[in-house]
Amino acid sequence: MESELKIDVESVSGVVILKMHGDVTSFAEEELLARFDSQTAAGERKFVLDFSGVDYINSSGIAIIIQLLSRAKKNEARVLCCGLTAHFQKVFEMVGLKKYTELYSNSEEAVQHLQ
Amino acid sequence: MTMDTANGVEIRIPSELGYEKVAMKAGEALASLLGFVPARIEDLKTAISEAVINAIEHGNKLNKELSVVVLMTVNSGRLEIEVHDKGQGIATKKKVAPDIDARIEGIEDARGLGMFLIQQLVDEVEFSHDSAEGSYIRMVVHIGGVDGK
Repeated sequence: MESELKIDVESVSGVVILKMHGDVTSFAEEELLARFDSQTAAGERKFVLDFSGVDYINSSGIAIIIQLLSRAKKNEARVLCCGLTAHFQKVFEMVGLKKYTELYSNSEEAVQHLQ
Repeated sequence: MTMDTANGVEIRIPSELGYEKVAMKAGEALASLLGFVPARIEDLKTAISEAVINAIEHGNKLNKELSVVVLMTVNSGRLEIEVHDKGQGIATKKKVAPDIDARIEGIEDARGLGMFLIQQLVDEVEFSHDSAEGSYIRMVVHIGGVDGK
């Protein structure tokens, strides 16, 4: 019943952009964390999570983002987020995620801040 | 639009993750009819989602034989949403902000944010528990409040 999360991976100016399409829920855990882990294992340390193709994030999805940011911290990687709706920017702020990431309107802005 | 407070909207959904979207859409439609501003509609949708997911996962233990029932009524300027399951319920929780540092460090489980989000996004929350009939979460949004319509 759950919608799948599809992730396109793109590299721009030394930054890995993980562009998500679909729902960020508990069913996204394997795909999102596996993609992130394979990129950090390959030595990548600058990331943008692009949520512009995401309509629905629930608390399980937020938990996965927290896990990802936790792994980023351990790997000394920087992760910025972009494309969140105003509502989910508010939710990210409520749970304290802005302490560990920054929110931008689009991937171009986010990539620029990682240069 | 007026609504008879004795009736309202009732939705019965299977205890399968994903069906929370049905309740979210219904809540969105009702809030829109009541004239809620878009931001408040989004708040309501997320609160409904979290309450229904809690009912599916923890109340009904993902048992597809059991239903989650969502009741939405308008009563004296309040939109009340009750989410019913067959579980034991939870005691009323104090509003405590999650410790994001502990979650990032892996000291605390990253999950379990649903109840906190509900408390943040609606005006009133009540949790019932230990009922022979099951349990429910009641969420209230004030119509015409500062953040409402």
